[in-house]
Amino acid sequence: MSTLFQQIINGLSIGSVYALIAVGYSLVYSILSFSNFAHSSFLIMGAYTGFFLISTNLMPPLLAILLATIVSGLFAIFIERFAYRPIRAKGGKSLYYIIASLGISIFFENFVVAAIGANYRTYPSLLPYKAIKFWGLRVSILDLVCAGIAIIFLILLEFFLKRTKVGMAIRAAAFDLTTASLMGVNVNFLLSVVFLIAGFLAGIAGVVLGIKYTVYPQLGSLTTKAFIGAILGGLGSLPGAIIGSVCLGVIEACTAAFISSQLRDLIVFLILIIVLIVRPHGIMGVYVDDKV
Amino acid sequence: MLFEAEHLSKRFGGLTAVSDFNLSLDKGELVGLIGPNGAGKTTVFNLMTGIIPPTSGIVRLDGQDITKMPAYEVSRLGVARTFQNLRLLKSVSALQNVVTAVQRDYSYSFVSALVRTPHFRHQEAEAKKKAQEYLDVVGLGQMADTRADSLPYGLQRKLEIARALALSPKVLLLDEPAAGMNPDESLELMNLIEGLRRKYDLTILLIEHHMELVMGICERIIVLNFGEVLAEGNPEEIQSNAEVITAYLGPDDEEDKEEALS
Amino acid sequence: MFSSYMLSVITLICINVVAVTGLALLTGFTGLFSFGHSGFMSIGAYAAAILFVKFNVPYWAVLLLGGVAACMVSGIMYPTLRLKGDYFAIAALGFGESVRLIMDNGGNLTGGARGFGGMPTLTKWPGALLVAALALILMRNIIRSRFGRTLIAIREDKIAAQSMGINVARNQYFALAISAFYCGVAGAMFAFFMTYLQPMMFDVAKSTELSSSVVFGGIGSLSGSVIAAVILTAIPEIFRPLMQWRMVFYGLALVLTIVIKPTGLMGSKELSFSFAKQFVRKITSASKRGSRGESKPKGKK
Repeated sequence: MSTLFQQIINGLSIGSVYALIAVGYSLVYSILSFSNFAHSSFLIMGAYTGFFLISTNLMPPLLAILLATIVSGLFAIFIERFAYRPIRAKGGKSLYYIIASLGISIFFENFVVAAIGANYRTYPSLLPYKAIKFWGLRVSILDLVCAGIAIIFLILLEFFLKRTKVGMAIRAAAFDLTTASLMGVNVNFLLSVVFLIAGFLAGIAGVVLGIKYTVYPQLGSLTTKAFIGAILGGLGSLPGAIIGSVCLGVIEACTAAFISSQLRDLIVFLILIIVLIVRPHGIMGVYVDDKV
Repeated sequence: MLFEAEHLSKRFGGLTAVSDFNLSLDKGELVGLIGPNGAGKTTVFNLMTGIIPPTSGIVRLDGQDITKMPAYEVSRLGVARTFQNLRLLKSVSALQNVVTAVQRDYSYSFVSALVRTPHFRHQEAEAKKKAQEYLDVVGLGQMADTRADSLPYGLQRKLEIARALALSPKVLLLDEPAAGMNPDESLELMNLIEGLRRKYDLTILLIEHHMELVMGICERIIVLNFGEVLAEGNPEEIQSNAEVITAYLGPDDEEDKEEALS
Repeated sequence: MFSSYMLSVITLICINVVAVTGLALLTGFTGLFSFGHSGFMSIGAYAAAILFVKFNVPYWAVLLLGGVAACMVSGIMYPTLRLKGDYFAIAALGFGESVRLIMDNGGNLTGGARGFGGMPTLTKWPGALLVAALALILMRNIIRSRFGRTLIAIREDKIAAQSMGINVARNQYFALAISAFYCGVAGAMFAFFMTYLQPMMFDVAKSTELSSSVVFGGIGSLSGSVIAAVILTAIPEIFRPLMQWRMVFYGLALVLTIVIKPTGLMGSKELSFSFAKQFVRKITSASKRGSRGESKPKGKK
């Protein structure tokens, strides 16, 4: 029984990082209705920027991390402005967004490989490798800090969306972008904010993953798991993204421990297919059919 | 009785779109379905053609219960319709639009298509010829190779009618065929519909807002408001029905009512 | 005249053309975007390889059987067809990855992650060209028939298609099954080109390559898909020294194409003599008249 709880704790740890990624992804989906595969690029941007800034020893690590987050946020705005806005101007077909986002993720990942190199880089150790033990369970300080960062950012996001004017505008736009624009919302500005947030969250997730594991160009592939978490929870729903990601993290940890670590990924993808067949709108999402 | 609806209702969550709709359409009739916007007319069409399932009620074609059938089966049994907002195959030529409908009658096998047997070639040529005839009949004969979305609006509406005809339907449902047309075009359409009805021995149910069109060709008119049938009768009866006028013009204008009644 | 390297590039091009042609039916003509078709290639490849190596089934037979195997497995995806566009693409991704992971864990049957080898080089340029040509001709025949028209109708407007008596789900599955068959055959050809197989050869990147070829070339244009497949296969091989950067340019090209000309290289037009004539006429008249308005081209089927 203690192993089960241990796995749940492990799952919560990775799940909270997935949640950070999934929320940004789901946010973009809720506004533009497409699956932003370039999200992984925001993550890599954050991970590498954080790594290089910390390595230079020019500033306290916390500042470096904050800067890395801002850089990925700005990167996200850049992508929206130069890749997605022209598509939106031409009608914004979901298919075109997806392919553009794919192209960006392919471009960026391979650019990092070609320009910077594919070798693994480790963040200098910022946290003690100790673990807290209680009730027969171990939680590493690292995991606690990572989970803590995730929770803080998600609370900040919640506050932003519910209590600020821009946040409300975003929630309105999530219902219907055209109507929101007709009501005076500056859609361009709004989208920049949305992508800034998505980039922020992905960036900080990148840093966290970099600290937790290592930094390498294919780090972005973890976003696929986060996507699955978002779908599990209901694509377009932010609470759903969190719930789905956390659940996914726990399922992963338990599967790896109790069934087989080889089969872990396979089971995750099978779960994805089953969810899509049985309940595509996930736990909390709303699946809207086309109007006749 | 060719086409009938019995106690047809549709609720979307808390909203009742259609309530207790009854219709009996006899062979050869031309019946109009009118009502203010949002009255539920298109929903009735959707219910009767299998596009959306009714909450309750029955739809029958030629005595056969088709209520639960999917749209493609209803179409195959002989009900064709046009759409309020036009649903043409946009990037495809006018001819191809109609051929895609007509081809239902030409069922050469997959293998014969792969290998291009003489049977295949013969049937393709026949289908093309038939489709061209339908285009000619609505006046689109010269525009066969034009992309559907390049056609002027009025011709697009006609194309949709041609496509519906190509299904050799027993019943034709027209959803606002004259939408966006000026009075001359409407008149022309009116004559076209009348002509088609005679030529193909059609039974027609027509949704329209152009009152001249409706009053001009419909033998019987059903008025819908807030999902319920408000009145039913021939054009004169409907035109002088006070409730109908209130539904269209609003409750308070005595002057407008008198004007409309006169 | 042609070096053996160039001939092997041609062979690889033919293999990709077969796969892309199949996918074009599903994506280009039926409007369903998939991120998992490398999974069908994988199934075809492994089925062909296993049948040949372990059961001595002859080459041309295993090519067909590879296609059949992929086609049969595609039945699993039937329930996902009713999903909205994005969701179906993701389900397909799940499928492709599941196939890869299953092959990874296939133990002695598939050789697992280490790989499955022992196939002789039986896919050579004459045979490959023949198969590719046949694949193209048959696909063109499908498209220019009532089957193709039905799929195009589904792509353009599902509701209109239903109202014309078209069973959308069944026809979508028809397109999926055929695209799976084509990819299975391509996979089988690939197995006897590479002479060994590893599950990671058929990953999301491969699926993306296939799908982006179709989009690059122009949705609704078979010749466009083929041209795109040729370009996308040949260029990395030509620029092999710049190996690391080829995928960078590939990604960039993809983004630029979609942002600048989303309809792809050929839009929805097919390569034909009349198209080539129109094209030349447009260029020469445009240069003569400068920027004095644009003549609206009459749409051809």
